[in-house]
Amino acid sequence: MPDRGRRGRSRRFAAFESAIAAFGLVALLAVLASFVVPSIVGLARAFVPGVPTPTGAPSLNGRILRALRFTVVEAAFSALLALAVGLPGAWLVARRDFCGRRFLLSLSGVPLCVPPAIVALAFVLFFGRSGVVNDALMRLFGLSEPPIGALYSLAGIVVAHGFYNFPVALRTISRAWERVPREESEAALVLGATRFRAFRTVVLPRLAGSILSSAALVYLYCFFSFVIILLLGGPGGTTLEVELYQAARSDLDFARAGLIALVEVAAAVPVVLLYAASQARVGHEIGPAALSPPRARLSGLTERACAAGYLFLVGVFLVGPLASVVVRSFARSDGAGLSLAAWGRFLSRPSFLPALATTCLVGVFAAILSTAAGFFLVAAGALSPPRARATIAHPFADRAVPLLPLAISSVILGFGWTLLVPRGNILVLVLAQSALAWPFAWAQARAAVDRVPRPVVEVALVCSRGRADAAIRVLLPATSRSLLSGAALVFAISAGEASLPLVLSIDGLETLSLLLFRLAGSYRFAEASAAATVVALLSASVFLFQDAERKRSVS
Amino acid sequence: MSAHLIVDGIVKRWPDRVVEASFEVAPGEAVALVGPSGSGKSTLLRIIAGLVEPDEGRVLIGGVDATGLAPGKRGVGMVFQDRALFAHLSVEDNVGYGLVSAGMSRRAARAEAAAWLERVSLAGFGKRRVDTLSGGEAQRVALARALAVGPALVLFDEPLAALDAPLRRRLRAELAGYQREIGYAAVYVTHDEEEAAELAGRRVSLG
Repeated sequence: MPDRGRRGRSRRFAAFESAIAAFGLVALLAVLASFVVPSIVGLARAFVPGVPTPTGAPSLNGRILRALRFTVVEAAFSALLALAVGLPGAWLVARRDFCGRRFLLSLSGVPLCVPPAIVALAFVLFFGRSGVVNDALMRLFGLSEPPIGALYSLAGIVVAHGFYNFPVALRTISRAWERVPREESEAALVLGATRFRAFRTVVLPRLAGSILSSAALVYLYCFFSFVIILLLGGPGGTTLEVELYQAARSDLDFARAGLIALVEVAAAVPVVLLYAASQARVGHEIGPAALSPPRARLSGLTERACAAGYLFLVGVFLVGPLASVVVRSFARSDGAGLSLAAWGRFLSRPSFLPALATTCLVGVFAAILSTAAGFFLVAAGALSPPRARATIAHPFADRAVPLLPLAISSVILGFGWTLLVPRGNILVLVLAQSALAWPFAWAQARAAVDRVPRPVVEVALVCSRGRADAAIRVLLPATSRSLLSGAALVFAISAGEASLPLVLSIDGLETLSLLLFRLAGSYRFAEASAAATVVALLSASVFLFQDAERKRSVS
Repeated sequence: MSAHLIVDGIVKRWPDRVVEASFEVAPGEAVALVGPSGSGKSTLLRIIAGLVEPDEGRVLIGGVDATGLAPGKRGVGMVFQDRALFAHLSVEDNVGYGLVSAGMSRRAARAEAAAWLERVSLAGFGKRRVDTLSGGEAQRVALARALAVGPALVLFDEPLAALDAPLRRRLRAELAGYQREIGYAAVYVTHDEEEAAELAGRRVSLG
């Protein structure tokens, strides 16, 4: 009898495992289809003759090429600025112990958990014509005109993008720098190298993958930046994303929109491939084998002054603008004193609670779907027979293919979805969000499974009933913290994403980020600031949770 | 004979410990710095190399006060405990690194490196990646790299610690042989008594 009971339980558990594996497969297929089908439908429009429109037949006319040039230039300069700010910060964080180090590291959450709409609003409130800085300078020097007027220009966009994204470079490069053995630089110095030659010939080659990878990622973020360009782009400051949005949503010129999407993807794919190739090198640079050397305290006046200057720069160009959003949400409309009026107006809006509920619902389902899909693909690769693994898991394709959604913007994807399902619904939003955020869930799952020692995977295969059993009883518990962290990251990204809901424009569907964008677009800055604070708190709390889980899983 | 290295009243303080030392090394002499873990042997070596600044005292090398000189201007070679080979460079470029720093062309440095590799029994290893070397081979490359710039003083920080016992014994004999043959002054940091006895004619105790 006990044997029969055990067999029954075992059969039920096997059925449960099969159901979980089937869910993983369905999630993977759903995410892939949600990315591939609308992308193809959107891009294929470039080849379908459309109804004649005022803009004429689609062609690579001057307007598209001008937008392409502007997009490439703003993305390249933004990536360079992010590197220029991130590199010294990476050295400080990796090699020195100082007050503010933890704070600098914690900024790495900003690009992921602070939505672009908040950053655009923050720069308007801080550097805009009636912003904090202009106000202060006019009062200080008795000026009649605001002295800083470059916010709505290429320079303004580059500064906003560069400082918004520099923490990506700081985090990635500092992790590699921590693992460059101090003795290698010292050996170079003893061998007669100058400090610069020691850095150029010994340290820099060890950071090359991280520098390239973070530059490529920031470039892609800025290349596909949409909300920041919409709010800050001045005359002539239009990017392919904005052009695509106008063609698809305002002009209803789908053929032109398809062509713009095609140009955009063609320009982004090489950078995604470069990113994937550099990621493999980053894995080597920040691998677990090397030990971090101890960090020294700041020594001498020069080092202290440089560190203080650096923190001041970050304070002025990132922390100040973000803080001004929170301050503005509590400011009275006449600027004299504090008030909760904006919060009262925002929280009592009929659309607030539905927007909050939709944001959470979409975030949770997108997180479940992306994480299940990511884990299924990674586990299937790790548990497949060696020969199959060698065929499937080509070192480059293995990394490049799951990252391909980085080459498709939310506007292209939203455009494809509107062609497929013109009226849209919340399910479409969940699927589209999952498709966009899936590379992040996959990357977390991949890193976690890579950390499981190969012999453990092999023992799991030998001792388990099958691959599903090995995945659920060994890989899943071993990687659960990282998967949870990946799911939280997807939630934070989804909660901050305003472009997709904006492009999909689903009747009656409101999200917090969309609400924030609309409030900022209609110059209700105090209410927009309250909305931004809620979105940032929601994303930041989830991001901090995921960061803590990630650290625990790595340690 | 006047000393080639004079460590004159060197003091380095940390909140929890202090390193103090004074000793001399004659040209061509080999000295072993011995002492328990944490007694500051490696720190003292790094002070001599110019990688750490002392709080007090002077380091004189070849009769010149080198206390304020950059590491590359002191005319010393150093072999690190973990070798500190440059993983992204080939074996020959590792060995020729200091020669290029001194202004030699890359081609000439490679030719010189090949000669040094032959001398340390690694002929034909020039194009190899350093991560393909065994522990003993990597140690020889580190030694060739330090000696290629022709230093009159070579500092060894636990040079054989990471190797197994038979290899350690073999390399010990080789190190002593090179030192006698080339005639550089040497300071070895070690906590292996046998190693200290075989490599150095004199010991300086720390801690």
